[in-house]
Amino acid sequence: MGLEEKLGNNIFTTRLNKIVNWARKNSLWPMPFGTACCAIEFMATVGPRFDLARFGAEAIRFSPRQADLLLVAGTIVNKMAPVLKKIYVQMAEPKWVISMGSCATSGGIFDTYSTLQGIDTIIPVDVYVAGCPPRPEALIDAIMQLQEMIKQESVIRPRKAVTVG
Amino acid sequence: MSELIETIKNRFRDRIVSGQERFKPKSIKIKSSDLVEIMTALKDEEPFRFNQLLDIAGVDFLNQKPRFMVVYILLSTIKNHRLIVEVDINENDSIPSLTSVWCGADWFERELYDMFGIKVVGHPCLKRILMSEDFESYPLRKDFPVRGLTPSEQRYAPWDKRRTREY
Repeated sequence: MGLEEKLGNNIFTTRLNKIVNWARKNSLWPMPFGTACCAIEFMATVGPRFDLARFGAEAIRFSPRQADLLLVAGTIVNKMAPVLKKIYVQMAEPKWVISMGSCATSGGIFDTYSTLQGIDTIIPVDVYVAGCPPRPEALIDAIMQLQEMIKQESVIRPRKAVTVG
Repeated sequence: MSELIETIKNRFRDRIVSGQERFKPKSIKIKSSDLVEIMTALKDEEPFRFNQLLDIAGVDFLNQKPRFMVVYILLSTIKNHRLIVEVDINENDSIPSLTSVWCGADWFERELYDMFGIKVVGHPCLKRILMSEDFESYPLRKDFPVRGLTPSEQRYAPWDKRRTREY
């Protein structure tokens, strides 16, 4: 178009939030907070058959400081809840949370005194994946949906802050 | 061995309250005052040599006296036989610790205390192991509701009044 014609073939113009969102959504580095059986399904998803690396999730980081997607896979009990909150708070913005499986979403079949009835009681969740455990295709669908959500984010308007305490 | 219960009864005479060998695994019932002595003998003497304590379990018969029963599952890898030892105890009674006999009894007895409230005398460090330290009741007793004692808001969505059934 007008400006790009003059700049030559190596330069293209775009909007800032489009390029930032494109970079963020295509390099989601997950931190698998795997506590139970859903972690095994996650391992299957990053295996060769249902490759998750083709969506940019190549580098699985087990440290919250180096990851931007917290993938909570498995049952969270009341004793583990403060640990999960601590890990979430240690992640740097921008961060997203996928709650994988029934137990992380709502306590699952464990409607008991010891199980947290859904991680959204303590941390904000972006995508919920149902299933016990969800199939790898379902998890990939969740990652793709998260990518669609990231595509529509705004760089100017800040994300809502999480209060600690 | 086929006459395990007979041999045990001959050895300990009337300190064995009852024994059965019809159903596997064979079991004996003893009193909690003889516990450490009988267990030491079962561990060290021929022909018993029960060198492994596999588990300590608790049973809550809600409306019976005595209310609780503690079950010890023993295995002999040397002689290849198993035994179950049962001890009846009342509520608010305590049992002696078996950590001096098998050191693996440590965590089993902590779980017994945590889940049933059965105190263990002589335990090196009797505190809760599965529930958090400030938890107040004993979850595996029969009068503890499944959902827990505090009706916290996280149990149901506030707009969903259907979930009012209590266990």
